[in-house]
Amino acid sequence: MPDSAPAEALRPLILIAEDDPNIREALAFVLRRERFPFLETDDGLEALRLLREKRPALAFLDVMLPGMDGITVCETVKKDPALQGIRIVFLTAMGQTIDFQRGYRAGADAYFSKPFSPGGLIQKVKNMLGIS
Amino acid sequence: MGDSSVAPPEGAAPPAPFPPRACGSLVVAVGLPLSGLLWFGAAWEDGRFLPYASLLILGILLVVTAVLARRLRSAVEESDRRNVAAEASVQRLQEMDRLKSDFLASVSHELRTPLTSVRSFSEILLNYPDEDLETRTRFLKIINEESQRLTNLINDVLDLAKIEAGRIAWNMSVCLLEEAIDRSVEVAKGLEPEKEIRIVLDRPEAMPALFGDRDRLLQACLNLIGNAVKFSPPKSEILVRAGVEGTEPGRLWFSVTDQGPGIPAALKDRLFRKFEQIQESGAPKPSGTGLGLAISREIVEAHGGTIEVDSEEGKGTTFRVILPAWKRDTEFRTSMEFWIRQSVRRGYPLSVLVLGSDEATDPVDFSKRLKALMIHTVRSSLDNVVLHERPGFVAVFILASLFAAERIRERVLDRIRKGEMPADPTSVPNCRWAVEEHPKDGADVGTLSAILSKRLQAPGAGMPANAIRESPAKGE
Repeated sequence: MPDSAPAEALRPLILIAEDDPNIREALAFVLRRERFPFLETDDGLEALRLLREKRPALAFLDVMLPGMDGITVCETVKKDPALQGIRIVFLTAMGQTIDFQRGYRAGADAYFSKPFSPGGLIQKVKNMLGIS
Repeated sequence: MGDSSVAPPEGAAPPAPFPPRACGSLVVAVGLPLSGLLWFGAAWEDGRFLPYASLLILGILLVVTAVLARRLRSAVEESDRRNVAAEASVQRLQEMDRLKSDFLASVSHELRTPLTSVRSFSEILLNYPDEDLETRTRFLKIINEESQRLTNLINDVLDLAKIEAGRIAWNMSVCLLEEAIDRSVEVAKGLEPEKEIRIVLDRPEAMPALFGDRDRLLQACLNLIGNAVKFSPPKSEILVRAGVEGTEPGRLWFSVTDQGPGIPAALKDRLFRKFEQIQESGAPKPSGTGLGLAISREIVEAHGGTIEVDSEEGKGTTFRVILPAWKRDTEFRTSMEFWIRQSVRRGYPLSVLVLGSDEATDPVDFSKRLKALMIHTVRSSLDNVVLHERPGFVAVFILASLFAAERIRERVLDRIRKGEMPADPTSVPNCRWAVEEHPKDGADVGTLSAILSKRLQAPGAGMPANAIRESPAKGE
């Protein structure tokens, strides 16, 4: 999936966990254009496995994922001392206050409700990872 | 959706004229000491106690007390009954409110996903104009498809909301189920051609007609067959069958069987819920709005039919729809029941006053069938036509020959003239009424359906203008 252009090694690895193929493609496109290496999955359990094995710097998590929901994945990551430092950004179609609260209680670092702006999302990611 | 004309349930209003409990306390607090004083005053004469007088007074007091107590008890019971009815109504409204909120949350959730694609890819096209033509074309195609998905979703949501609220314009006529089936099969053959699915149709040459909305029946059929195509593996077979059950007039059925993944038993109950899509783990999210089955069920049930599912995991699924067949003799009843069911779905408390009798349409049988629909039926003679003043009453159906209907109409007009019935039914809170007649030969059932449909679907009105005043009896 990720291209292996030499410049990409300079930027931190990002995980996309999203079950809608179109949204996944949009995220992948923007990350590729912004020279971020990335991994993709459409399943919560697979996302957790990739988080443990590949240790990305940041993960986009859809809240409603097959296998394991995003909230549980996030809680598991935040409780695991070995996975400290991984930033979690929720992407969700649920836009109500209570959903935001659930996300932040689970330890999310940022929360984007759909439909989001890919440009805004990337800007946020750059800020969070200290990339200008 | 906010329909302000929904009548309160029977018995919830008006409030009791005075608070019965307070009245009771007053009787006890004032009545007892007062009667005690009276007793002593009347029975004590010249320093002597008159035993007979005192017994008489005591007896009168007992009788008065008993009468008062009885009145009090019935007033309290009445008040309790009203409270229970009001509470039930509040609970029902709260439940409806909760369902509406859940539905709204689901709709907004389902709209956000395709909208995300549209927004993301259009922004990408604007921000990265240097991308090659092929990629840009693919992104435009996604935007196009996703906006189509949004359109379908909005149409389905509106359809379902309209059907649920009873606001859909049903176009009822005598029609053929096989037309809907054949057309659906034809359309379904064009869906997902790359999967090379074979659709086999097995139905009798001719089937009895049914009383229904042609387009809506087609929508339900197409939903079921389209679903089968969606969940079928490539190169598999879908069997569409139809037939007739029973006679006079019997029931029509059709079924759709696929060789798809099947539905786990635990999930069967959720199948007809809104936005429920059964997703195999690891499989991509199924396309569609998740509303098709909910809409199909609404359509089938509106026609007095049922829809059921039979499935075994890994062995495919069969959906089976059963619908009542049409018969000329029962046409009047079928159409009345349809419209009454619609008005009930809109939440109007409904009583049906069935008057008169007719050889072709037996009112007793009609009443029984309405009871099965949970509709309160009053079968009545002319003398208690005044029953129409019950709150929430909607319709008077005169199931009678033209001649009898004319006589009943005369009597009703007479009662209005004498002031025994309100001339303007709107003066009675929550009361709308109409007199419909049923010509003996049942020939103009279409007209009757049209009148009822107009009235039940009139914005903000449960019913009816005053039919009697609109068409006064002869000689007026």
